[in-house]
Amino acid sequence: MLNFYIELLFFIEILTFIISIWALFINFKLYFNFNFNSFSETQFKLEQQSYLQKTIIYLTLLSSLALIIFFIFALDSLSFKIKGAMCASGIINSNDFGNLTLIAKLISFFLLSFWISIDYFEKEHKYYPYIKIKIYTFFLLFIFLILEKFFLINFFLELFDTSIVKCCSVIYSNSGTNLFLGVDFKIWFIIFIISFLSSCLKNSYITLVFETLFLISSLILITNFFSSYIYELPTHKCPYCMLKHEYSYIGYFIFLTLFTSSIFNFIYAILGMFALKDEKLSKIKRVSIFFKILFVLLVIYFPISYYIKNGVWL
Amino acid sequence: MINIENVTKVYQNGFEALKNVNLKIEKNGIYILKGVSGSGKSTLLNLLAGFDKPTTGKIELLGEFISKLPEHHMSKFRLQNIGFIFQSFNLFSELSIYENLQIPLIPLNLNTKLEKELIETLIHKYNLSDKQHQITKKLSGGEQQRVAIMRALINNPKIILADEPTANLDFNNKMIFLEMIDSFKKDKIIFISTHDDIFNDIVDVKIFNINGGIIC
Amino acid sequence: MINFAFKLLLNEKKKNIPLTFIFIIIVFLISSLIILTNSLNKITQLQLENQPDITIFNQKAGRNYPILTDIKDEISNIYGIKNIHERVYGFYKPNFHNLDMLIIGFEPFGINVDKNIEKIVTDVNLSSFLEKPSMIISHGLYEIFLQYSTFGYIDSFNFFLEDSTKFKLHINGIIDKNLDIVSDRLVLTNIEYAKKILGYHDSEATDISIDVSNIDEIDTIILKLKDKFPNFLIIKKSDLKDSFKELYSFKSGLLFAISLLLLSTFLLLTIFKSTSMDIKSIKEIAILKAIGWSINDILKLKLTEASIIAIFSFLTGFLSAILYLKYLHGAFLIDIFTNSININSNIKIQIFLDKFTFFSLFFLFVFSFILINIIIAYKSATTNIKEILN
Repeated sequence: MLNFYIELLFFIEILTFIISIWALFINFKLYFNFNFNSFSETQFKLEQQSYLQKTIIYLTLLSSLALIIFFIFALDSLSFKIKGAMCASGIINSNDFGNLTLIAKLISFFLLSFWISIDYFEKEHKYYPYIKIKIYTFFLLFIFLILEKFFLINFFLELFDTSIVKCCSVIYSNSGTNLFLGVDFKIWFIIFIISFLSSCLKNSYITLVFETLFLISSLILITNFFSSYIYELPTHKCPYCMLKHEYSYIGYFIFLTLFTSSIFNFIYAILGMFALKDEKLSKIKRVSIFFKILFVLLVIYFPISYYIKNGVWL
Repeated sequence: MINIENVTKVYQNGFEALKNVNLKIEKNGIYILKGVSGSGKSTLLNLLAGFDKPTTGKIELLGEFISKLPEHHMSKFRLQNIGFIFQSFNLFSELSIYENLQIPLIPLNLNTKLEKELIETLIHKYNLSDKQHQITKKLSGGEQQRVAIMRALINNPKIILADEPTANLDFNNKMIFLEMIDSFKKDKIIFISTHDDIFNDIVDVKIFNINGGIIC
Repeated sequence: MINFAFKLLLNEKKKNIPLTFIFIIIVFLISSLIILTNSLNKITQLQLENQPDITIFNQKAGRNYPILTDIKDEISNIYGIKNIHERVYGFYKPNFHNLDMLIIGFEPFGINVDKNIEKIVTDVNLSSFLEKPSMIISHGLYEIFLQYSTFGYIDSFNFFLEDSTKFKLHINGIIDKNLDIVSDRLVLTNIEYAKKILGYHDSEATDISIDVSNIDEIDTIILKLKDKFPNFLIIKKSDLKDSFKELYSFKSGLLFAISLLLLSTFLLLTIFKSTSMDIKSIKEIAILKAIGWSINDILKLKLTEASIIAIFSFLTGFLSAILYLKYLHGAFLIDIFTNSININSNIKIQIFLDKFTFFSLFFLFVFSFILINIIIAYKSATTNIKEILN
């Protein structure tokens, strides 16, 4: 079952993991010994090592972004081997670990970007005000990196025993239930709109709550509503097919704008909670809103253009 | 402009290189730090350049407390305000004079025209125009020293630190060196650590003697 | 910055040239292997495109038996079928040269399902072909016959039939070497002679092939066929393609082992190169820091250096792999794949290169090289400058 892409995936995964273990060691040292007020040699060395950790985290961010795309691509390359699978979604849903892997990958990507943006703010200061947040974020991040690898290995081990999957049959269904997580789609739509409008609010806690709602409702609506307009097929509901070249890779733009705006807004909220008042914080907010508007324009373009062309809703 | 307060430096092996050093420099000019080897003068120079941090005490350069400055701020400060002249010149021996002078300017991302202007004025001023594309390995010791000084001057820093700058030079070149530093002493602090007696003869120079980590 | 990095690299020729060289070789080997597998896969896929939409075998207890041709009428009753053909082919093993001849029967006046055979047959002078029992053989087979010309195989060949009698086929033509054919031990002959040689009765065939009018109806037609002939093995073209893909998607263990070995060599070398950072380059970093470069600036320099080496080596290795496959037709390497019945051993490699393969190889090499280089450069960039300079 191994092919070149999966081999490559594992190779880069292992490489990235090894360097992140290095970063973990540094993180432990920082956790136990970092004390800005100390003038000891150890402190001096630690400040130097924090730069090394930063490089590693930058590189991990870069490779984890590439690996998410690669993961989906590699799965797509497998889809002909497993009966019933038509694209990555069939493979990814073939066992429980597929979606877990993807979620863990996304969370670790978010934590990496979070770490880096804190570091970006810290650079302005002549002391290390955010070091504690960075240390804890990294510990959390490492847990997700391990989880991600664990899920990934289990996913492939189970996948190699699978010969037939249901593929889109679940996603393809048109069973008429308009419920997701027990909530009607109309309500999800209202949540989507409200949380979108509230993204210009400044309060950290409100931002955190609404951004979470926005992310969840967006993902649900992309899968269940917008996707059928992208494919122009009422029964085709799948978040993965839009990543293929048949749909000119539009999915990458959709998800990229969504995740970028969410990541920035979460960073804004969390940094605000720590009462870190920074001029650049409002810049982050503006970037977030920019991407959010881009995302919303992108997704509503498909239903609207469909309606204009055909005069009906799907 | 340079203010050292109660600075102590103890190395990891327990050696106390500096003991409660206090030093204040408020005017431009030439300052000599004299002492035998092992007296702590190199340590003090390293602290001033920000290569090392003191164990206790405060170091203030041009109003900036560098004793506790994170690395990226320190390198920025060093780039803008400190020029360093080494004992062994430390030039890139395979590169030409022009290219060696380019190196400190690379992080500044200047445009090519401005960069060229800066370098050529300096090369012209110190009479090396005809050799500017010669690789530094082939230059004489005195010429190499001149390139090293030019490199320290290229960013127009307020402070010039020199570590035994005359140790590898013969008498003539030492005199040229003295002339050179004399030419820009009016608008810079030139801080030289040395054990060479030749500096005793220059007028209006302030000499600090250091012995056993104590300035006397 | 790029300029400066270039100059520094050129100053360290002794260290950088061997590294670049090894880098190029490894990129070359891995890319050749991967492009080769991809291309062979593509070629097979293209060849399979000529196969019929559905093929029916008479399979009993997992073994193939001759299929009775009269079921053709029954099949033609199913709606949506464009055409039905019986096909006769099989291996014949004479007692010399350890030879395996692939015998394929064709209908001189009928339509032949296989487009490649169709192409060959149209070139044949039919009247002389029908005068006496004749065959068309591939170039490879012809060369073997030449070696045994003392036996009289120069213009004909004797096949032994089931009842031990001899059956002579005259050589009527030789297939052009450059033609794309399934095997170079190929014998093409009239379908009735093929049946004779391979021991089929007149009303039997190896399989029955079906083309459908509308590709979307294939599954329904197969369902109907299965309903009618529950014992028969019914194969869809797309399933055939998938099974061939599987065959090439890493000719299993061997290729995997080779590429893994090469990759680890590559990594080890990179690590070795970078850890053996001599005192000179550490001193360089220290000087740069002393004259005001920040760790980030040094990192950028090292990144540029590593990128120059990596991109140069990658492009050189990758291009030479393409040239090697194009002009030397993958000599030596291709032996891993041939010598099996799947591939004509005189195969001309057409290079199929997709963007994704290029980018994944690029990502693999350039990324891992830069990654290791930078981390190690960082480590030396954060070492204390004072010790090095004093």
